[in-house]
Amino acid sequence: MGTASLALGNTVDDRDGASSPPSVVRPSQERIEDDTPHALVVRLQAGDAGAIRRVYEDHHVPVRAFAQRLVGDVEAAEDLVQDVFVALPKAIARFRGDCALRTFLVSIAVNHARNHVRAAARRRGALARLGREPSPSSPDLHRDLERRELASRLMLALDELPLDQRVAIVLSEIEEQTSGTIATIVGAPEGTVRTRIFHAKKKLREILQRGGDR
Amino acid sequence: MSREDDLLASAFKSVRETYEGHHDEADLTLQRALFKTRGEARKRKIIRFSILPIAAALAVSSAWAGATGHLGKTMQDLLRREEPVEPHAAAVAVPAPVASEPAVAPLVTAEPVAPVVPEPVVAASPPPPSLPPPVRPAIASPPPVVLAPPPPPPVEPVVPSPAASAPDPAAALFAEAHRLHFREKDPARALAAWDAYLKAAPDGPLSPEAHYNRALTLVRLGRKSDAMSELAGFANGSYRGYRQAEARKLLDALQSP
Repeated sequence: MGTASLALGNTVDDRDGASSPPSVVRPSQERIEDDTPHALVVRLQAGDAGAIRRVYEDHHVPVRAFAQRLVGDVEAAEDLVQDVFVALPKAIARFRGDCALRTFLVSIAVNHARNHVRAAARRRGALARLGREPSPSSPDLHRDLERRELASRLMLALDELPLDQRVAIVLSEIEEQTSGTIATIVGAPEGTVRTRIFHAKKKLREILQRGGDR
Repeated sequence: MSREDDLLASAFKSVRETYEGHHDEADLTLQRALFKTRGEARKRKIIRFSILPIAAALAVSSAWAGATGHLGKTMQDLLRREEPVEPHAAAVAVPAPVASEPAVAPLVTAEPVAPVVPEPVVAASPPPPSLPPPVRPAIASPPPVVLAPPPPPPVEPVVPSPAASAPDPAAALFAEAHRLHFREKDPARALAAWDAYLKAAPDGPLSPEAHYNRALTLVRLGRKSDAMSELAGFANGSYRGYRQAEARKLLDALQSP
């Protein structure tokens, strides 16, 4: 395959002339060669820093968005994002190309989320007991206040769900993914995913209603 | 759509809008991830280029030592060094030259099984006729205790043989030989029993002790040259110094006119 030869860096040397030996691949040249997903995957498997950087640049915003929406805590989400890209070189061996790389990254995040979700939930619970809201990540306007308050209520409600239901509802209702994609991400049958979403919604309705009545 | 559904949809929307995936320190996160990735890669390299070759070298050298017989000797040495002191061996650890034979008896009688009786047993059973003169004084020499048994011949107590409870045959043979040697003080039967043990477990953990005790029985039976050849192994350190001093003393005593 042409992509494989690109990944080995032979073309780089052809372009560069005879000045560098065939086995040496300079980072600046990698950037030229890494356009194809397959080459990127091969280089990720080798733990290539340039490849990790490229994947991060392309996907860190959606991956971080998912992490923040799942965890509900900006700092804990940042730790989760870091974990995802540290785990990527090892995890990429499981990547078969049957889904988008972004979907695969989200699935890594799901696998590493448990401890971060737990830590964020503890922090949220402590702040709720103190009667304080988590400090907003950016200085926003007053019109955001209501939205933030609602988001915080949802996060507290999500903390009461089992992790698999939480992941399913976040992917389904906030990330707006199809149940097929969610099934790929969580590695469960579509029917199971739909059941999780159903139960999660039911519980969230009750919890929010309960909170609204207070 | 119900009011709860509206509320839920609004909440989902608010979370979506609140968290959009931006972070002021996104670059720092990348740097940290790359740093940790490099650390992991370095760890893998260390394992691949340092630990694995060392493990391979160890495996090869062990295989070589095993094939050439070096491993067996080394392991045997190690095992001998680690070997726990067997209680019976400890009981007879006092040098047992011919002249100091009585010293053995108190140690043996110190065991709870046969506290008083051994001496009368020695007195009651006449020494075997085959015993040569040099050995006989050693047995007859113990102090007046031996000469003052009660007039009725003592009924030999039933000493429960350790062989009965010994879990493996070699241990049972050792226990039986030990009983014949040190409790019944019957050198002829003890010699046969020691030979039986050494035949069953020539390289057993107690075989050095069995050899030494065998040498003692040979001394008692007057088989001086056999005893000396058996003791010579101990005296010249073939058993890594085990009972070397005692063996030398015994050899000196046997060689003296």
